[in-house]
Amino acid sequence: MQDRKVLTDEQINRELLWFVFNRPTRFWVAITIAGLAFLAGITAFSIMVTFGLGVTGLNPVVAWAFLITNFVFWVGISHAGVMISAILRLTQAEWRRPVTRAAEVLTVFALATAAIFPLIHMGRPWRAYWIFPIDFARGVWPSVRSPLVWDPSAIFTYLTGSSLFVYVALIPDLAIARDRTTGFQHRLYSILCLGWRGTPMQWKMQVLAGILLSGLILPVFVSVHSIVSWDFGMSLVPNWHTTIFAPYFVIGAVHSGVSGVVTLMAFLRIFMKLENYITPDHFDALGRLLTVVATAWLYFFLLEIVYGFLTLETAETAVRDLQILKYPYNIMFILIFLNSYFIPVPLWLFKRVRRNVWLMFVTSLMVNVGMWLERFIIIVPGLLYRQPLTFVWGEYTPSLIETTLVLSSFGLVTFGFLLFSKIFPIIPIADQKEGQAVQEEIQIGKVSVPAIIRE
Amino acid sequence: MHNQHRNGTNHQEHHFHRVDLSPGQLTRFVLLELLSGGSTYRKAVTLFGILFLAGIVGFIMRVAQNGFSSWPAWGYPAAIVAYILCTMQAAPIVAFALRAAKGHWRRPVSRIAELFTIVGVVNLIFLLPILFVLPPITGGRLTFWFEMNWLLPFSPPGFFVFFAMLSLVICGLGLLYLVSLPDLAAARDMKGGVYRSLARGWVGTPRQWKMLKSGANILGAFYLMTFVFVSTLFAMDLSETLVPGWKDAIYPAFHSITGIQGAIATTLVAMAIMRSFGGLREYLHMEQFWALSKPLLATSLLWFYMWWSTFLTYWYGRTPAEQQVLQLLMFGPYFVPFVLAFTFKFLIPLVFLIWNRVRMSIMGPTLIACSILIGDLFEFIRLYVGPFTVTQYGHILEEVPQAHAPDIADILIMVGAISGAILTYLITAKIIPVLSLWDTKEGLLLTRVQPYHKTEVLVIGKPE
Repeated sequence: MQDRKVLTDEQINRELLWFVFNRPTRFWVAITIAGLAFLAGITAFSIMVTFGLGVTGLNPVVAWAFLITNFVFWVGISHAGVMISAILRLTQAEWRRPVTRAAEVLTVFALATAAIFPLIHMGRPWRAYWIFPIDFARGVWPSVRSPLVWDPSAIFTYLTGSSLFVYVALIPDLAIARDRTTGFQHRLYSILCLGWRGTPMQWKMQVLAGILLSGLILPVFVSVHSIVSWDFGMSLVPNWHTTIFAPYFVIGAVHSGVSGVVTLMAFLRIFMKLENYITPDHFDALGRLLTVVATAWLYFFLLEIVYGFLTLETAETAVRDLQILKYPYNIMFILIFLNSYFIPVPLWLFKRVRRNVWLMFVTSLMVNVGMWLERFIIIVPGLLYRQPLTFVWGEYTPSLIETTLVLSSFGLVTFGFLLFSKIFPIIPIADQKEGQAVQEEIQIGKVSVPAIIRE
Repeated sequence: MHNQHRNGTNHQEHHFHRVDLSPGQLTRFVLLELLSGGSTYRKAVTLFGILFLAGIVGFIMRVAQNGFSSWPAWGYPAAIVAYILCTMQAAPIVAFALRAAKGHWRRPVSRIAELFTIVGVVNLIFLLPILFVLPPITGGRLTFWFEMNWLLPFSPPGFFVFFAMLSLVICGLGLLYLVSLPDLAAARDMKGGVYRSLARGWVGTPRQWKMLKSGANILGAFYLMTFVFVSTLFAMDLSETLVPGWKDAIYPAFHSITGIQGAIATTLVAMAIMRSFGGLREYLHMEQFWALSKPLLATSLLWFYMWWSTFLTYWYGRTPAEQQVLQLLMFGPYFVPFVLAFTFKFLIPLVFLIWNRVRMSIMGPTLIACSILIGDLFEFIRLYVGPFTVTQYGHILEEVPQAHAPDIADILIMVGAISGAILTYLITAKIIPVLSLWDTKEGLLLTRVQPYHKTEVLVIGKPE
């Protein structure tokens, strides 16, 4: 790593707990803006509950649109946590250390936000309990063969696993915070750290738990977005019924999720002044990872298009014609290509770009704009021409309510993230200290080469 | 002298080794001992040479019996070409991936995997008759490519499959040559002869080293992407489009993942053979097998995941065309190969590789790799022989054809093709050493075993 810094334990404790123990003005400004966006969403939702789903652009033909697109988008963003935290932990990538907790927290809040949207989309969310087999008196059982029933199982399993993942890794840092606080904060951290003293046995259990959770959460990570994709794939809607959706959605999720982490890291570096911990090396590594993931995503995207045309079925080609040639979907199609691959990836091939925090921030935002549009263009055009009878062909225009709900979801995730970072250190303190401990140097001739220690 | 090695020791079984040789000792071992052929080598070359000749006899029998106009008879040869593509020809991807991931343990493994690029040359030759026998697209067979009148003996899609395979072979040979250049130069300085032409002007300037490392990464990435492209074309034009109603968008990716799984398995088996018979016992240890067993498990799970995605979508959708495809490839005449492939490629790796004790051994990952390679054979039989027996066109497979059992010509062709590929590898291994001299020397410079508190640890230099 080119940006290696030697930091003492005390310096790490002080710098990584500074944001937790202090109240800078910029924090209050940011959380107020995020909170207001979230409140706008609550207002929009209240209006929708009062006046019904008619205030949205949804209609009997296009029954899924903005809200479901947003649901899929946030599930996708939530894949970043496991990708970076679990996989990089198992492969012992050193550069993961400052990134893992932020990615895991993003996962938890993104997933919680995603889980809200099917409830919003129901229009009558108080009937959500119908998906659980708890009311024998109704005589109505949920259909376990429906992907819509698999969805909550997968999402809540992933949410539980991700939350455990965050918490287990947080315990040693909570103990550090406990030892540096008094009053209410001290009591809170004392309860949460479960009596952590840093004994060899506790460290052994903590490491083992981290590795086990990393291994166990990987199949959940793959299954979640696969099951979300099967909401579409199991139907016979043209452009939806295709075998590629599961890995296509997963790789798209990783693409948007890791881009989301890049956005987040840039924000943390600038907002929380963590230049000592989030260095250009990390953006370089994330940029290289994104190049590989984006190329894999492009392969699946192109395969999906090719197979749409391969059999020359009327319904399929009609959907493709709409997606690629008809306004406004053709504009979105071009934007997907440009934003998700053909602008960012050629830039990421250059080290100078990968090490530039602002460029990485901008390109990662572009990717997520493209990926949101990609989910929209999968969902809506297929529904517009679902029926062969022209008198039921529909159109879709998003309403202000739906747009507000979508934008407020970003406010909700930001609000949750800022709140978390105010209470808990957003960069793992213990992990950083371990990273310092395994740093070494070896002499090769007259040159001193940075090295790391492996057990 | 190559018994001198220093193991890291701690209170548990150590799992890192560092060969403690001087550069001169290492050079002599690689260029003199490894490049000379012993009796075991000569026996192996003789055996695979005889089997390859038997394969040529089988090919002549096939041509004599069926000519090039009846494609159902060529299912097994097509399957074996795909098998070699997705096992041996894919192995260099392992070398590229390990180099890109900068794993310190990869150094003895890289050249073993990279040498498999030479197999592409013989596989390209094996592919030619298959392209001649493919049914024409004028009859209504789907294809990714538009129709064109070419002056070539085979029209699209055969032309594009050949061109893609040729690109893969050229890329592979370029990669092998580039990464071998420093070793060829060392051989030039020690032995002379043909190495003077091969080594060209390599003298090891900083610029040359920089070009070599950048080039290895770029060519490696191109090799991976070209392999995926070739795999896609094989899946579409040599398999899927032969069956009316078979529209499986994930199949090309599934084919590619099968290849990557096969690549890792092939590399593991090759490592085990090199360790036992190739003189690399002091260089290939449990660490390398342990490290590769994890991606082997991961790719086995990925294979199942992609198979499941297809199966669930088809089973759930219940469209007549999809049900017929399931019948042909999984639950009808090719049920036995399907079950065997599933067992050898997924169940056995899953059941055994989830145990750390199996992964942390040499025999464990090697046996699982053998299982995967056996499973791959059955997998490609069901994916190619089945479609090759379909002679219908249209939107749906009206009648599922009977299973096509291999005859003596098919068996000779399959055995001969695999033997030919192995023979090519063996011959090349006596020109280009199976242990990368420059990579190993670099590893020795960058690694140290040193005391750390009450134990010993491996310290790995990271100059990048």
